[in-house]
Amino acid sequence: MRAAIPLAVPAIPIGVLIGVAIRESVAIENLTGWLSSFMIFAGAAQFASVELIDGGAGVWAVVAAVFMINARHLMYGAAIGGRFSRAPVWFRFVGGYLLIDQVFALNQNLDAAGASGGEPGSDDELAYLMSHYIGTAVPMMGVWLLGSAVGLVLGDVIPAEWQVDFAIPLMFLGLMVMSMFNAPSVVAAVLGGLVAVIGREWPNGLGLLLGAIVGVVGAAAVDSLLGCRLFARRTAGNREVS
Amino acid sequence: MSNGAIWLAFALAGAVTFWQRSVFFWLSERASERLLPPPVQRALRYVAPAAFAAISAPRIVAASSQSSGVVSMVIEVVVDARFLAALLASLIMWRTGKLPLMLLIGMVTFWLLRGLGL
Repeated sequence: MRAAIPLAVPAIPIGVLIGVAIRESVAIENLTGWLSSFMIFAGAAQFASVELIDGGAGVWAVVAAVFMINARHLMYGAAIGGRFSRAPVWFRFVGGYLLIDQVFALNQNLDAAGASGGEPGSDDELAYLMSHYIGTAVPMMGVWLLGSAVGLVLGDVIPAEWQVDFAIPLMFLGLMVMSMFNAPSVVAAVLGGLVAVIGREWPNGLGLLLGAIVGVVGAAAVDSLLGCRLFARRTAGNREVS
Repeated sequence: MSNGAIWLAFALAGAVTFWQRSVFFWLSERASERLLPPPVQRALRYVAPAAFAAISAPRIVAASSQSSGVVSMVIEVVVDARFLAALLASLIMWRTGKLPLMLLIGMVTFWLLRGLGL
């Protein structure tokens, strides 16, 4: 739970901003809009759908845009899902539902075997992975629902000139630094950031998606070229896979 | 759109998102070995740095760049409250590994630099 605090706090003003966007939208009823925090539970995708609906777009345009904006979660799932291949059914539902950026960040390179005292692949390890996952995800969900409710009811309570929304890119920058463990991971970050900056005007978060893909592919190429022990930093979840 | 149609749009968008997030939670060990062989798993270790850089960079690098020359463009990007605060914050993150400290110093630096007119 404590690990989630630095990620949950910056999410509050963004939740409030979603609430404000719904409040100010003409087409969307407040309760329906707030429920999007439950149903979609993804900041950028919710902003885009509110904007599209208010602009008169149809159902399928909204669904297609959200599909594009959230496509990176497929990669998150692929990277993390294997650790839960023996998890119970309820966790596959709940864990999948809660896999937002921040939850991926806090759980992707976790040394569960070390922290739980169990062997890699043991029940102890799985139990630790699951409780850490739920413990970090539930506070995120809580602040998201609360933040968007506050924005809906009270409107813009945070003065825009404070620019508190800068905390969000700052937080993801911190997560990026945290997730670097060798030279190719630096390549991943540089390529990902570069492509996303070039493509920031592209529609439906295409720049973000392509940035992530190009970063991963580029880093994997460098990894296989170098064999890659360069600057290797031990992070347990990123154990060498042979 | 009617309220019902908006409901439908949110529900379908939510279903799509849920599928994207959870599909790999449902693979058996055998299926995931087939779909994600070791080279792919090695590559997937780089999802976090690539994705988080792609999320943050466009909101840190100055949004509008009217300059044509490379040098003036670089200056425009670097001499900016967001960029400088982010640079200091990531150095702190690299040295200390403490996210709350990084956020605090990053935000305070950002506000100070903006107060100075950057």
